[in-house]
Amino acid sequence: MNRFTFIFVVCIYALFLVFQAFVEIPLNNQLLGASFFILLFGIPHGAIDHVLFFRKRKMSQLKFYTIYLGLILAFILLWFWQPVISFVIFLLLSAFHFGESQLVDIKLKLKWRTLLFFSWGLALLASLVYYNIHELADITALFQDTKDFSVVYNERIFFWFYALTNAFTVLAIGYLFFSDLLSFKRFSSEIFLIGLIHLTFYLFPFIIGFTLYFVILHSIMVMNQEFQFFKSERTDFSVLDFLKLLMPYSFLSIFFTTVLVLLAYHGILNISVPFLAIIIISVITLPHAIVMNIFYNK
Amino acid sequence: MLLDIQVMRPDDYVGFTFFIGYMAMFAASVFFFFERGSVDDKWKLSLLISGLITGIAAVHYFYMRDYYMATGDNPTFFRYVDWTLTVPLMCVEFYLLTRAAGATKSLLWKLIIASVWMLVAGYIGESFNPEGGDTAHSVKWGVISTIGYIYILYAAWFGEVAQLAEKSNSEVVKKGVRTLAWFVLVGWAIYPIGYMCMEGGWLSSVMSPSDVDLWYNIADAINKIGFGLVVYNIAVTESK
Repeated sequence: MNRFTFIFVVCIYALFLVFQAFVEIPLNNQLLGASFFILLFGIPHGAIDHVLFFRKRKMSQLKFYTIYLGLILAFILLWFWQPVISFVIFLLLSAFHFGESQLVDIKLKLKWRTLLFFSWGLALLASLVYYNIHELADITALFQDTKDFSVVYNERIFFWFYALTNAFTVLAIGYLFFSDLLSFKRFSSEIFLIGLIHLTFYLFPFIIGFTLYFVILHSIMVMNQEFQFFKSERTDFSVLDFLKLLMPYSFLSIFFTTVLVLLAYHGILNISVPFLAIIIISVITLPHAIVMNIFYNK
Repeated sequence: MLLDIQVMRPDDYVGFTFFIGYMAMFAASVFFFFERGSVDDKWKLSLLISGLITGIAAVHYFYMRDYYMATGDNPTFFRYVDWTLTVPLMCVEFYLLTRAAGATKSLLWKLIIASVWMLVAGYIGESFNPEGGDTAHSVKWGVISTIGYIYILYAAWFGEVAQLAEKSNSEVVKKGVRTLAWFVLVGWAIYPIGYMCMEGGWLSSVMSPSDVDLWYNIADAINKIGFGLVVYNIAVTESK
């Protein structure tokens, strides 16, 4: 167990007690809490993509921002043209990114690494959906513009998807251990983490389960990887230096995201808040995942 | 002592595990006491503590078994008496294992206080919960109890215990303490889960109180005997 898993465990116990007190938390309160933590930790973990990129690759600033913002724009357009396809792309991209951030230090050939990352991330997302499929279908059906996604929630298909991806991931991790590519300490930690994630997704509602994973096991962990990178470049690099680096772009992103969400909330934008949130997260994820892939591999 | 013969259904798994638990704890105690003679002097106290943990549990399981057979109820009172004695002793094991690396008496007392704190709060939360369940009561004592547990968990994984184990220059001690930390993380998790299954609790619809007893019995046997076996392994390996 590392420190992030420890924080995760502490939060699970804290939530146990919250649920012991309230039994159920209304959807609006869940969304409010989740948005707060995702904005506070999720946005900053991708706020220094440009800094990381220029540490790893040489490119003119103009070219970088054109590509970066161009990808965001292209993905926004795709969302309005083909929402279901965009949603699937978003899930695949997220799966790879989650898997990569978790298992990046495992030494494997590129094609096996890619397969492992996809498998880990897909197992995570499949489990999240499978354990909460009815709740998710209900939330999706609440809004006119998210109704289309209901076709995705087929319990039978998701069961097989969940079972196969999880079986493959666990077998792959087991294989790595028996091939001496993974120490016993790491192997047991990974298996424990998978179990813990399953327990979280099973016990808690969809939004809370995902937020717990995304904030602690992804965003905070990635920020730590970023911090360690800067620290390896400059030994006197402090947490304060890191926060100073994160802040300007985090504030900008949080500001614009909040404005967009408020516009949608008050009906000025003709789009539901959850749909807008999915679009915002996905369009940020696309260039972020690409930059992080470069960051991890160079 | 002669007991009235109680009829036991073949599918009474709770009763079954009370019997198995009792015998397993008793056998483990005999084993640890006898094996004290085969390890170096510095490990004898650790094995004595291991034997005491399973021995105290065996006596309580003897009473809990009869109580359950006679009433069919959860022997919550006996459980907490058992845990209040055995869990601090498990914490003593952490101290004994890391003593050579510089563990102080203050660490010992901190661990003992945290474990007693955790159990007394848990007992008040569970036993004095009014009929039908009082959420405010169970949450308040649940929070207090959890603080003690989180402290022990932190100490075993990252805090003083973990740091001392790293300093110990013994791979066996390092691995042993890490294994015991896994017991605290995974094995002890059943207790807060059980707490939430009490009447009116969040998980009461997932697991009934009688099912909780089944899991408590299995977890107790694994945690206490397992804990002792890890200590025994360290003692034997370091004595070679």
